[in-house]
Amino acid sequence: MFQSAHTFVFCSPAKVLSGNRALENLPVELAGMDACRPLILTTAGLAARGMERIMAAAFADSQLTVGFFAGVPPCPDRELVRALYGLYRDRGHDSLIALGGGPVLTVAKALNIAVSGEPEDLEAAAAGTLESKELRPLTAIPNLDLSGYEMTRYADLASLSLTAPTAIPRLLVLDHRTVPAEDRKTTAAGALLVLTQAVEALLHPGRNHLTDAYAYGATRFIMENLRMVIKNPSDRRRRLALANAAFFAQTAFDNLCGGKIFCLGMAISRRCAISPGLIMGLLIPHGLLMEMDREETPGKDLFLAVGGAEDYALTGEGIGIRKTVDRFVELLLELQSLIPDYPRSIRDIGLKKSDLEELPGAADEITGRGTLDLSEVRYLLDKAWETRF
Amino acid sequence: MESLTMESFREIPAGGKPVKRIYVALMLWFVGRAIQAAARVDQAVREEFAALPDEFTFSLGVLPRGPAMIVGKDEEGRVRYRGWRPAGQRIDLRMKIKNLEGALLMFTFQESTAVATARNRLIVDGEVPAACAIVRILDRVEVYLLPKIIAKLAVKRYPDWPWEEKIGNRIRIYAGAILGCR
Repeated sequence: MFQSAHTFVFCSPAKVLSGNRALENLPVELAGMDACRPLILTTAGLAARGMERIMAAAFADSQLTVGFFAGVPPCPDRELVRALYGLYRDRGHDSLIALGGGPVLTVAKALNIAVSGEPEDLEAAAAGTLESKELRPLTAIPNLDLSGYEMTRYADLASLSLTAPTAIPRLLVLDHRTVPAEDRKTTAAGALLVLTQAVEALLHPGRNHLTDAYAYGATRFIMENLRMVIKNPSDRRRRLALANAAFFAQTAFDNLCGGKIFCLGMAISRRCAISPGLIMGLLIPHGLLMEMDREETPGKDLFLAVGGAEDYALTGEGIGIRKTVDRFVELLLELQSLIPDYPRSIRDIGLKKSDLEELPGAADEITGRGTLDLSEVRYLLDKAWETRF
Repeated sequence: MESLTMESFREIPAGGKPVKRIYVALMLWFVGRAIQAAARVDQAVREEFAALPDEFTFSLGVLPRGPAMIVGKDEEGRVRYRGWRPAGQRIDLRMKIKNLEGALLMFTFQESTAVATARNRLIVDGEVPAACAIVRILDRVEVYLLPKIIAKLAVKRYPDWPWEEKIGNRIRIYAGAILGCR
């Protein structure tokens, strides 16, 4: 039954342009935001893959001169933000375009906070007190190398965890040219991270109809497209579907918060320097089994998202979660068969038994976390330690 | 860090797409003149224009700097192609394609006007009913100008007109557009 709406707040400030030639709309969209001199931030890796040429083509005929910075490292720090602050001011830029996921958007959000006010505003954002300050236009053009925080209010800049609702990019552009094929492991890791955010949003006690709609869309996109993208990375339509799924899931995540699978996955990832999505893929089945006995768990709704409408119609009451777990294990085994070095257990990634004690505490310090029951996190960790897929 | 930043930084000056611009400009010029001819030849196009206000003028152009076409009714109600420069003309309805690539998708008939509108490639500044009338007129003109196999891509639904009427009108519209008969 579709319950009548209870009291809720939902925020998604981003305008989304997705599909064929979406990139060419940038000049007119920037003009709509009173911006005419953007600074594009990206990584050297993406620049080497021809992104400068693609962006130049998107701005050709626009009469705009754009700045192009291709030096965002994998682990950016405040020093870089300070240097870019000077560059932005000296060259008279008025907006930012983040071309790429993860560190690029981290730098773009931090820089945007600094250039929209004072560099000291970063401290306010780290303290969570930068609530409603209007920032300069920020456009996100993410790829499939995801951190999970791209379209959220969060950014982890070295030791500084920034939180600012207005830091969410105002414009999201998804064009198949800027979502290039990544290696299989990176694609799988990004998709499993998105899937974790979506599934945890569907299980979240504070969920509402809008977070459900976003999480449902993200889950369906991943379940219908991930296998095919891994088998055929050149399938640009399906790659774009994964990029859309990331936006859906991150918006739901931003309106709720991370659950125990997300936080534990992030904590293990930091400890072992491995993509968090790969770890979350190993944790999801255990996390869902823990939800099975709870009366309030929307098992059938979850299976509708994971299994699709046809299989949902054939599923009886009370077995939705079990079937969902089966689907996730099937997906995991298939990914492991397609990606030779995909870990089969959290023991394979260099984690030691002695690390298990500290990890629940580390999970509780992850940016964007909700209220975690540490005994549950510990139980989840123990189960994952014992299991080999 | 300063020098490292500057090493990775460069400015991309605004380029151009001259060949694409010329193609779209030619298409707009030809379609504009074809609309003028179709208003004399085709009953439905004539009625659509008759329902629009006196001296109604519209432009269809590409952002940010053209090309464009301007078509409007004169004092006697006759439809005229009024060139490609909107400057200095009173325009009641402006239809602007957001970028040259969007215009190219439309004028290479990879996307119909309806699909381009649905994909948010057009900005309409003016009355919506008038814009709908212009889209209907454009659809009819494209059916006359293009062979069926291409026109099916360009219009929402290909009409079932008597072939002798279609061929006759097509010849007259082509002649009018090329020769610029008034």
